[in-house]
Amino acid sequence: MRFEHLIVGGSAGAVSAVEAIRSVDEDASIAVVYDEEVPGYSRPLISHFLAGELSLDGIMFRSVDFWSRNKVRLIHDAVVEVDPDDRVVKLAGGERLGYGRMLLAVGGEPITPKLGGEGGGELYTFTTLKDAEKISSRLSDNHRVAVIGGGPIGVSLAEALTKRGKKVTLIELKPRVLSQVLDERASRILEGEMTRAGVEVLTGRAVAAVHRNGGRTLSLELDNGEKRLCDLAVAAIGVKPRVRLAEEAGIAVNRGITVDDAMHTSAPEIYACGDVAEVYDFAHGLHRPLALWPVARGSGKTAGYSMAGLDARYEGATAMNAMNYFNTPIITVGSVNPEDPHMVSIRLDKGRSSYRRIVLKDGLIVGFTLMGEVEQAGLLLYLMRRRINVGHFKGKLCSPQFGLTILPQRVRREVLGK
Amino acid sequence: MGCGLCEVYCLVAHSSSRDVVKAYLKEKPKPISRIRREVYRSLSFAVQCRHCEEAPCVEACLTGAMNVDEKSGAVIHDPERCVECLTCVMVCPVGAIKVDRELGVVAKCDLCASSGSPVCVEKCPNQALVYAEAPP
Repeated sequence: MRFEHLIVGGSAGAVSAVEAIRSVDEDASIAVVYDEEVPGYSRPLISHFLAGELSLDGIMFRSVDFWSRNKVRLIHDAVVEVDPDDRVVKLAGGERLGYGRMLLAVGGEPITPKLGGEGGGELYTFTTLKDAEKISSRLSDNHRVAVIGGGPIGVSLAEALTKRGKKVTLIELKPRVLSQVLDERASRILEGEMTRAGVEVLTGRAVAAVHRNGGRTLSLELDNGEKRLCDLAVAAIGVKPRVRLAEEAGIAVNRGITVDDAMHTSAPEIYACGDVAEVYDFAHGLHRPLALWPVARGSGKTAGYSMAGLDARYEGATAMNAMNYFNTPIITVGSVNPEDPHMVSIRLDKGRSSYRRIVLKDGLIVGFTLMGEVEQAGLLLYLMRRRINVGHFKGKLCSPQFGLTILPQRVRREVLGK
Repeated sequence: MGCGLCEVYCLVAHSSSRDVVKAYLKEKPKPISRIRREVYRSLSFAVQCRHCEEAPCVEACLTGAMNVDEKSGAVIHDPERCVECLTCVMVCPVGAIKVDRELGVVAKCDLCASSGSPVCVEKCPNQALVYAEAPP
């Protein structure tokens, strides 16, 4: 069988690519090869699923008939080999599929820590719906859960487990939670909320070994010699691009698959998008993996347009996180701390858990944190992305009056599309 | 002139009682206005969703709650599917998406879908608000 468009992966990037292709070409044949149970669910929502707040339907960000409505042939299998010369892929089931253009939207995979002890192989991970189902099936008769890793995955997992009434211990190697995306103040406020909700937060601690403690109980040995007993343990130390297929096919790979702004890889007619690709980071002026939902959607759309023959360019993104863990709204973008002597930050506190902090360099916004009141985040992101010099009104950026009215008329008109 | 009537009418139009006194003082959860009035020195402004083509909020939405209405082209939000993840808020360039902390959802201008005509435009005493298709 041969398809004009063959998409490997069934998540955000794939959905966006299908929508983009169909918006310009109603007839081209499209196949999607996905290796999970269900395509088209929203990966960031698995914590809401585990918490019991959303059903399977609730985490489907496109309805189940999305694929049939878009005349997509769904193939539930795994691609095991890509042959860019003959333009075919081989499936685990043995079948071979030809393609005109192919998209690698295979996402990321969890990094699993190598831990000592005989229980080291018994750690769960938490990046797919199946992971959430597996953990959920163990919760009815188990109470104590250890979460290893205090990044977005670990914190969202700790929240979900807390909502299920479980006793959670979260262990983070860095001195504070979410150290990659929050400044210290925000980390501390969030840690306070987590502790109040009943989570034991251990920062600056590593797990040295996992031992079996009789029955199904595990004993985590920490690097300071302390021990924590738990019924199950989940490793949430991060994800990495799933680059194996591309590497074996001789496609250029750095940390992720290397692509140009049209999301084209080094191989003819092969595109990549989402967590597996290295997209343009406008804040740092370089390409790197950005495992973020809006990036997967945006880059998948560009890939789809390119595959359909349009001259499309992905404008890029940067580290950006909207969070609402433990009922604490936080939006952070770019550098949350001044990282070099040319950067300065301005801050306005509004009570115990509400503040904004903006990091500037040479009159440009290079990052910001909004905690508590977050509604103006998008305008700050716009000013940052368009590299608009805010030097002459920077004093107003943190003021309660910040908004369109304080912007120069020219900028305001641009924002409003006039 | 910054009178704020648009906010008042918007809030009442999105309340369950549709009564200004009850909407402001009694209703729980408290209804919120989907239009934001900004006043700075002599400049005043009312901002609501621009219903962008290629809307960043629709692209960013984790749940599929934010969508484009196929008939009207308006950006519509389904609170039933919303989980208050705030991703749309992060990417809206005009800051038009409001956070309803009490209900745990976001809220935005729906062009007064239930009545068919935006009440902020209808009631603006200065005809400062206009409801029209933006030039391409």
